[in-house]
Amino acid sequence: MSELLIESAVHGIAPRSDQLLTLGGDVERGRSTQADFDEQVAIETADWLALQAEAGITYPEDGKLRWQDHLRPIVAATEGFAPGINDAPVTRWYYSNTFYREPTITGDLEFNPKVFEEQVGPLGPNVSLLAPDTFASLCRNRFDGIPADRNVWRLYSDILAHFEDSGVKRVLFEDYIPGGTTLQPLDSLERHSAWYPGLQLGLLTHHGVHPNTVALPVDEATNIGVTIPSSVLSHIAKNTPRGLRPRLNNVEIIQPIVDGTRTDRPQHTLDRDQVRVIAECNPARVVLTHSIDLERLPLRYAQEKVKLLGELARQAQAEVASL
Amino acid sequence: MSELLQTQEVGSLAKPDWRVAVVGDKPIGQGSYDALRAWSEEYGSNDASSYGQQVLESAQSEFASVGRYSDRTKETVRDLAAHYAVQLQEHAGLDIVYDGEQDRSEMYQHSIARTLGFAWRGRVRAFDTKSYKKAACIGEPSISEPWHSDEVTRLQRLTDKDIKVPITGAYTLAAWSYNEHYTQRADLVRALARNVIRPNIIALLEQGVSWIQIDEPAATTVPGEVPLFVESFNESVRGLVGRFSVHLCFSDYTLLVPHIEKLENCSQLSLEFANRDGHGLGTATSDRPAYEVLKDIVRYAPGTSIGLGVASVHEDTIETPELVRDRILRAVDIVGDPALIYPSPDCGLRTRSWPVASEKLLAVSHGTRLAREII
Repeated sequence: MSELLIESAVHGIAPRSDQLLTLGGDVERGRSTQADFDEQVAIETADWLALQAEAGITYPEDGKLRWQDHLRPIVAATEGFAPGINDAPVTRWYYSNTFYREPTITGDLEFNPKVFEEQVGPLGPNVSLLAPDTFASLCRNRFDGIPADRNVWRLYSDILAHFEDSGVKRVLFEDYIPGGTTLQPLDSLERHSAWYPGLQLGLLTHHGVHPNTVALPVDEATNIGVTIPSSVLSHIAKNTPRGLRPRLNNVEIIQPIVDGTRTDRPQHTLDRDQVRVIAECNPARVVLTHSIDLERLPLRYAQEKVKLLGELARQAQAEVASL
Repeated sequence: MSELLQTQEVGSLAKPDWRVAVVGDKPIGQGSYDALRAWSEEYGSNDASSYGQQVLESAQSEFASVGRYSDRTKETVRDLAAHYAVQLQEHAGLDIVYDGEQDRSEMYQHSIARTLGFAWRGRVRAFDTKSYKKAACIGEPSISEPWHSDEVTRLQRLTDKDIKVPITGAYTLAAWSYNEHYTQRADLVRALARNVIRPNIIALLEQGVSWIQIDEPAATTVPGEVPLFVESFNESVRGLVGRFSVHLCFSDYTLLVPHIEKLENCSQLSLEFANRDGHGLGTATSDRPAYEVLKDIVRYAPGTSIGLGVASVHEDTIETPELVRDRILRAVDIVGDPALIYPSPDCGLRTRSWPVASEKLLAVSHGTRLAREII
């Protein structure tokens, strides 16, 4: 019998170092070159991956340092959006002091993989993307030919096909739509899992206004009457009612370890109660990850969180085994 | 009696290269001299140009000999930057001005650096290449002294125009910080309002300032906490005699609408609109979609004036006066009373160069004149 392994994943946009932040501004002002910037991105991407390897992260991602926001490289590589995404309206990214450029859909969306790879560089085995419905909700739609969500799902079909061809193994969709996971993205996820058997698709829900306080959306995740072939990541609240725990069998678990810079508070580590919840689920399906983008932290704190994540997975594994 | 449609700034302007160099203890480049000369020719006099040149040469000489600038030199250079910032706004024809926040590094950083109970954690990217230095609250916030006095004293010397002092509000300071002291963020917000913002406001009022704009760009970012923002605004100004307004931007104003009437003593809502508006001319609903939310605002807060964002601060394209005019006319049509409309840029223009900021403010003034003619 193989040994139980509680897995861990890092996703989303990683923080840039102070040097890279400064270089970005310098390139914009003509004081430095794009080549200098690209060289530093390559160094920091390698460092980010090495950190995750050292921490024992099961599913590392490259930190997406070329992504100005979660939408831009896709928009820049897609016909059917209004041109000029770099000058599009600056719009607040949910509850944060960060922003994205709001794309406008003006036609049928047609993905150009070559342009996309020019934007983001080579893809690794694990890639996170906004959930299609979240992506659609963040766009302004000025195209009557097809509803925005369907238009974006078509676009994602092309993107996923390209990912599969490029050797990507695991795609994590991040659902930010406030108000809870809806049936639609789960249903869509199921369909797409069937279409792309070479890809493992997952869904990470960020709904709720604060990652530390959202309740577990297990009802939505498990009461839809279908078996979800891929996995759903979800928060697990410390006070999860006992009656809800058996429903967690299809649910992976995340720890809200991004908010704040400390790593020594009880809420930033697993407690016995949470370990018990994991044990009462299916530990073999559990993947520990962080909540929102680690870019919300300065680099050195994000590095600490990645290390903590690896430690939490090992701790959980040991504690589950001891129960 | 003042004219209808008073034009106003919202806060910040970029810092000139020479101001950044001196305050950051870096050498002054030749380009700084050229820029200063150009601005003196455009807005000042030969005397002003000559004085500015002298200030920079003297500073450069000091740097060459000791490798840094004295506090006195830095203050002189900041004064010079404020002088030009005011001239820029006066030249553009604004009715209500400030000093472009030339003493402030940035709206969050400047305030937190002067607030006890915080520790810096590092830089965090905001968007594109823009980042800010983020702090954690590690103790009860308080201040050792109010921090706007010097810049206001200087401004009162520099201009005869009406002034409006922007200060960053309690909710935004809390929302943009890590809370590592209080169990509940609400307690941090309340402490900032009570111990930090209110004492600063009282000091400004004692200094003779009549209008204070509380900047709260984070006010609606957490829908469930909008009442907390309202509470913090009220706690900051309750019982004080003065004119108080609030500035929000790049967020969903509909979340604020149901709570507007609970804002006490708030005479103006200053809001970004141009960023999210169409670029074509026209005053129909379909031409000016960004301004539709004003209908709800007017319903919940009749009589509250609107700081109307009519020029985007995130693009270099200069709005035409006709586009500004149409945005104003659409707002007047919705609000009903032109005396309640104060045309302005969407937000502080700190992300734009001074030539672009100047052109945008000129467009605001020209467009306002066109609107006045029609009204």
